[in-house]
Amino acid sequence: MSGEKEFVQHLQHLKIGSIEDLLQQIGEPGARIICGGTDLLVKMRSGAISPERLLDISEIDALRAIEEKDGRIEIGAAVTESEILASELVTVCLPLLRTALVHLGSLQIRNRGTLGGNLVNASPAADSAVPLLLYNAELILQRAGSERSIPVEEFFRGPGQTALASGEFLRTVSIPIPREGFDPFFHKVGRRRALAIAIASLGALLWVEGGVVAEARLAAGSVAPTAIRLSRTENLLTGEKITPELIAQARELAAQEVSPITDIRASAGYRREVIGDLVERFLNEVVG
Amino acid sequence: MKIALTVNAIECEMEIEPGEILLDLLRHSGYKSVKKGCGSGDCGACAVLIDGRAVNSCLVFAAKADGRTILTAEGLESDGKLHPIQEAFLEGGAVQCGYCIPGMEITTLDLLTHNPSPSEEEIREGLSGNLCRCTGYVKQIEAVKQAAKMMSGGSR
Amino acid sequence: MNEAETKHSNTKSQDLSLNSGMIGAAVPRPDAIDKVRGEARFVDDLVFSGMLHAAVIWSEFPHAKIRNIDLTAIMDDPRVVCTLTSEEVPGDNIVHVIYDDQPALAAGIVRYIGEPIALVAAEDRASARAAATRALIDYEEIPAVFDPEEALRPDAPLVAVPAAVEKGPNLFNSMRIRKGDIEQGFAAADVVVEGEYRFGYQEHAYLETQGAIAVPEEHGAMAIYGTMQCPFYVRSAVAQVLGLPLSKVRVVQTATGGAFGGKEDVPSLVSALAALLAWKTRRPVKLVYDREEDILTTSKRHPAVIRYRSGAKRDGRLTAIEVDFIYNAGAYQTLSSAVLWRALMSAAGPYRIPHVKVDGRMAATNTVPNGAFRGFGSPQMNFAHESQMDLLSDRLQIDRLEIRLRNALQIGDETATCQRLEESVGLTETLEQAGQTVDWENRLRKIEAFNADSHSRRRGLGISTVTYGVGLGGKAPFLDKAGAYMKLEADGSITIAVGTVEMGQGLTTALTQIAAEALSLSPERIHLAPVDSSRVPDSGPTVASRGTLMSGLAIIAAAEKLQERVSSAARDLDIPKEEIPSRLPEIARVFFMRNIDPAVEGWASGEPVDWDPESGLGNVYFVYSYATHIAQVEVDLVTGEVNVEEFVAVHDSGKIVNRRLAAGQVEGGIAQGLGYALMEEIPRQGGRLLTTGLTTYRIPTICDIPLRSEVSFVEAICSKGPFGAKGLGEVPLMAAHVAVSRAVVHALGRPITTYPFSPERVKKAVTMQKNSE
Repeated sequence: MSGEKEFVQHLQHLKIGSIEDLLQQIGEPGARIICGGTDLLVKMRSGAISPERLLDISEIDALRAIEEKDGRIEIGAAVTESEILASELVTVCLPLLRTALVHLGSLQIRNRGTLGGNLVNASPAADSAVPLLLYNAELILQRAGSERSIPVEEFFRGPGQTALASGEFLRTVSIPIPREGFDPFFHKVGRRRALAIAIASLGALLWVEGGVVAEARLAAGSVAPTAIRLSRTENLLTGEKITPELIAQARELAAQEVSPITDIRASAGYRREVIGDLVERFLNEVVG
Repeated sequence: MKIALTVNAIECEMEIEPGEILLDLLRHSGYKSVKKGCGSGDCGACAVLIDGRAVNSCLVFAAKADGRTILTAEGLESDGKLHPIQEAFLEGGAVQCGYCIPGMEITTLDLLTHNPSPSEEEIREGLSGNLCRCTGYVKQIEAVKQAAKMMSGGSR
Repeated sequence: MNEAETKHSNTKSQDLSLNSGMIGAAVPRPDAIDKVRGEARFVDDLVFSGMLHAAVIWSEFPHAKIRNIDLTAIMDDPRVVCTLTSEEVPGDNIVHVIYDDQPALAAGIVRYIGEPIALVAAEDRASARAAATRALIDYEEIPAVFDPEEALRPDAPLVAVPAAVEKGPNLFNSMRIRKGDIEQGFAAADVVVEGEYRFGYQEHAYLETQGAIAVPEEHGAMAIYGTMQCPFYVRSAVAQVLGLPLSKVRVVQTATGGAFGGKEDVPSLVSALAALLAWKTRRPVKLVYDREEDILTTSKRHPAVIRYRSGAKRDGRLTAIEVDFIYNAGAYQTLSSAVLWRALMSAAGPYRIPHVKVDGRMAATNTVPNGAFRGFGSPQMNFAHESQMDLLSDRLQIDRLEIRLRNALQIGDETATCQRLEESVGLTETLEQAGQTVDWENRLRKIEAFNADSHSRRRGLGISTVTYGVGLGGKAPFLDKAGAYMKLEADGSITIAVGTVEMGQGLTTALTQIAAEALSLSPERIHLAPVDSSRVPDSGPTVASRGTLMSGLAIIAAAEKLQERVSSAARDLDIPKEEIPSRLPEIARVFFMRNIDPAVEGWASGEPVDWDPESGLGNVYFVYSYATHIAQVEVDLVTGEVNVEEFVAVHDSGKIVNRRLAAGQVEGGIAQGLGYALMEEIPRQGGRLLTTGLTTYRIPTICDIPLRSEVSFVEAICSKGPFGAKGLGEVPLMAAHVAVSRAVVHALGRPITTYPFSPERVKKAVTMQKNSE
């Protein structure tokens, strides 16, 4: 150690070659998975976390694929955001995921940051969370001897908190390709147009059949301890014809359904109002 | 621990601490074009290419450079001639204080390698992670357009 | 985006024969080649043999007595070389800027979070930083005050050092203007409009943080290498803390990664701290702030509240203004009294007003000391005076461009300080040209049509016009001076040294062009040496948009002397005038053989200026620059987000020395102004600033700048400037942020009076507008 190197922390940095290796190492005390490191390093630098062993999974081939399987798109946890954006499959089948990731961080961040990392970090403002909630994504979690699959909604437990048990890791994000004929919507409110952490975001998928809402999916970020589905508003809309009265009700219900906090980026009141108003905007766009 | 890597086409071995950051390693090894502006991945002044992709070296452990190919702005010139991107930034008046410029050139190289004729919007999206406080970016956008032309063999 | 266009005006009375065509040319920057190669050496890129690394122990409380400083745990690490506290300072424990109130290291009391208390030097940076966290400081908290208005109440805790307050407890200074008879002025008004305007911080966010290296030199001297605007300020500060004569301190400016005023006073402190450790260890010591330290502990644009009343006739002509304002100085004076003065001088805007009453106060609080930032107290005032003009326009139903034209200062008019403008007033031309460029009336109609058709998005057009007094001004009439040193080398090349600095703004290029023009030589023959305080006399600070002007004049003065000697030698050799440039080596040899001194010095001092503190009147600046900006924005009424679509900027900075560089300055000012108006904010909780890095302190990215922008110049020639030039650097930001914010107000049809116009504030205005409809 010498000169001007500032960040020298005593730790082990282990390159993990396979899932088997990972399963052996993951239970060790002080171990933590690292992939792109774009969130982890910031947290380590601020002293929020201080792992002793970093398990680098970025080169495990099994975690690096994007595949179509039985009407689902499966994305390995170590696939970078840039790779997702370059994927024809994602562009065609999951356009909202693409829309959300285009605005995540910057080119340099997307070149390192991974879908798995963005989810495991469990920020209420995670850019990938809203589209994955809308797509009813399932997360495949693996541990020694077993694996399970849970809806992304159940994965987030609070800011920085996930359903991952000790010794368990996120392997794959499995996303059913939605049936055609929907109206999509995504808006991220930030103070600037790039490199912004969302003040609030709203995404939606809506199927209208025969003049009534056949299915409504609404999800919001940065307005609750985790990114959430607005299920009460969805229920309100489902089976109904979109009228000005319904839009007004949906707007109000969505604003009630979120539970934002005031922080240095915006007040709770603003976030609540903006979610309601974005729901209104979306529904107005749908009815044209 | 020891890592083996290629920096600006030179193969080398470097002794590192496991907790060391690539930014510090590169600067310590004499690659001073890699600038520290924030330490949190927000400004892009420390951008380098790892295996052809631009990354903020302040957010990468040095250990991850093992076996990789790194390019810093010092490595852009070849045979004593400026890289077209450097030339475009120079000729286009895109430089003021110059602190952001090496990182911006590196990100531009990633952008233009993967998208040889980007639209203005794509240029903006591509460079959104490289902050500049002096220029207002106007001449930098023009420089990237010019560099794209030069690199695809178009007229200067 | 066009290359800036230039229109000549007011040039009739001037006959400046420009012989080589250098002035106005887009000469490439000599410093850019190193920068595109990544080889420019910024302070953190320099390494000296045996160099140590410093870390600072900062105050964690906004106001506290220091009971005890225990640094024993710091020395646990063998890589730590020493610590240092205020008791060991060999000279005065003072970092002098204008007053002597700020210590280099807190002695017994801290007055803001982030005040330096003690220093550590270690063999490497990581060890120094780690060691600093082991300091045990025993504080006794005492009552603190953070809000400037609260600080001025009689029962407020006393923040300021008594020796630094001019006008009462916590009142660092107050200043005023009294012109005409304010009662009569308002009595003559047909309408009176009032507003209260509030501003938070703006952080410079130069990409390169503060840093300095102190290097002990022979015979007990000290050299400082650092990122800075004012080498002579740094020299004084270091000499004073070390107790050295000025001649034993040498200051070298390194490549400077942006400054914007933030490297005017702060480098004096940074350099003093590094110098103290270098003095104690007798080894070179580097101190470089990380981003968090830079944001939390260094100066920013002053938070402010401005109350403004304007009276006007039915035809829009202003009759009177009454302005009262308070700026938050923070815990020490630094440059605040000077900032207060410029704010005062800017209060009236670029308008003809017969009756003026302005009162400004600078309050001390337990917050980080604020200082210089591009515009120097003016930008806050610019938003206030332009908001008032829009209010009048609204009330009187006179178009916003028209009402400005009716009040715009012209040659022969008197300013708010009763200064008669004798030349170089291009204000009206900037207004007219900006209006023509956007096609003002048609544009307004188009916007109206767009808005009639859209429910959830609305467009607006904002206009702002500003004036800026170039140079340091009448409050400190002796300060404005600069020297230049010029020598003819044996091979016919020219070396020049000046004392004002390149910090990205393009000074090196502009001065090279001025020298080339004055010497009738090509710029490649001329080299500007790195700025080193030992080479030239004290040339004052590189601030107040004065660099090109003052150093330019000094270079011209030097060039005239050198030309004389060269011409005389040429005559002796029968070299015709036009062959002089190519035969300079021959002439240089003659200099050598005949013992002619090949070195000359040039000296420039500012034109006479004056100011009477009692009345606030005087010929306060010898010349003014002007600008008009127009911005078009689109506001998302649902989210409150603002998109700046288009920008037109027209400047009168006299003769433009380098058009491309000048346009670059304007474009940069637009981005910084856009940030100030819309996104840049530092929330404060008590004495603690809540943004600690560039993740939360957001400056504009490349995606935020307007899709279309057009920069142009009208050149109202200034006979006192080098080849007719005035100053430019600060003006673009001053005009730009106001054009953006006023455009938002125009879009909404409802005022917002607090900066920045965040999505939340904009949304709130939308909601209030809806409720009132």
